[in-house]
Amino acid sequence: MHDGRKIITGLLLVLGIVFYPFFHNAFSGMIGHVALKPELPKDEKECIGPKEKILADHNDLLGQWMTSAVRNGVRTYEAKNGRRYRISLNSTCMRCHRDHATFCDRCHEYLAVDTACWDCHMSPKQAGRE
Amino acid sequence: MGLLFAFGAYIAYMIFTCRIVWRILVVWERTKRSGEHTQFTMSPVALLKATGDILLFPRLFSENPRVWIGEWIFHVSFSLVMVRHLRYVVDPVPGWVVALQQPGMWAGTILPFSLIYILAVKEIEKKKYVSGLNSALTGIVLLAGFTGLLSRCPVKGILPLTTLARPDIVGIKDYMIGLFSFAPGNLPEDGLFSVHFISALVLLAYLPTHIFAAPLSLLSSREREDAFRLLMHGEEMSLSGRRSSLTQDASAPARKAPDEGGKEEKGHA
Repeated sequence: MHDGRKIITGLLLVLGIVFYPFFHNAFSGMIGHVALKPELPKDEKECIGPKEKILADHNDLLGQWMTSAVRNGVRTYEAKNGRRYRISLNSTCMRCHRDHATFCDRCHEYLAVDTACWDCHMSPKQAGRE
Repeated sequence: MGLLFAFGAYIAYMIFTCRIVWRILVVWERTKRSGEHTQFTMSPVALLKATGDILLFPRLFSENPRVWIGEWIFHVSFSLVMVRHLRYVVDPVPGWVVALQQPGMWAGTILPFSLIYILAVKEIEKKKYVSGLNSALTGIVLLAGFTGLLSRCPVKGILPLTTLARPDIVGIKDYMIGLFSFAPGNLPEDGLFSVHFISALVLLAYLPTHIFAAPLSLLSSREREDAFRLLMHGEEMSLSGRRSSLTQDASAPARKAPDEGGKEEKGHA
């Protein structure tokens, strides 16, 4: 066996890589840490769809809204429950979820999701209207 | 469910660790018995070549370009997918992981198809060297790859196991951080994620340890090439690796070298 030391170094490196999450969380002081839950609106109980559906698919829905409003000029969305909503991030979604820092960003930052929303939009809180 | 999966994860980690440690001990014992060979320091050129060997698999390319393209794409996309998965298990997510997210997403789409391609080429060419374990592992990676890819699709209830195609990744990350801090909490129930997670654990437990030695053997063979050149052309030539690589084709069969040269060649075979 000519390369024992090299092989052992390599195997230890592999162990280090596989155990990286243990070390990372221990050193960043995140042991047992859980996500900060998004702040829900106090005065409104119903969203435009079931919570699970919105949680899983809001990205697609907002994309469809953007195409519908900006490209097709259609500004009305009919929800599954029959209610009609104005297609607008600012005046529909953010009427209840006023501050993206305490609602959207909490989960997005936790999972390193990069959204393009705030390149153009401002939440009412950030715009200083609150 | 959360506790059961955590138990499975710790068992898989233990199996993996034991196998690696066992291999280290075996290699250590063998190294002690045979004694280390003379250490040669690699010339920068040889090091560069070895890096190229590890990153591009040129030897496989010259052997079988059809398998090479599939294998290369698979290995690159697998690495990128693993890097992107770190966002589900570490907090805060490091900048280099964030920077590699977009390629990671592309890689996630490509990965399962590269595996299907490899399986198809091997099947068509009827390779005898494909072992049962190799095929089983490929199948597990394929399963993990497809369930992972499906988790990104906005389909509901297409598969009998799924309640939602997109699992609650915030809940899953909470669970994962707990798992990697030895304090597993609740896991959101999701059929697709369960299959994905279990296949990853099986892969971790059964991954052959010798595959990690592949980059090292590539490194060693370049080192031996260097050592061989040193032996054939003496100190002066070997110090300028560039000159010797221009004047001597390393892969050409050379005269039988005395003593150590014979030993080196045997090691190379």
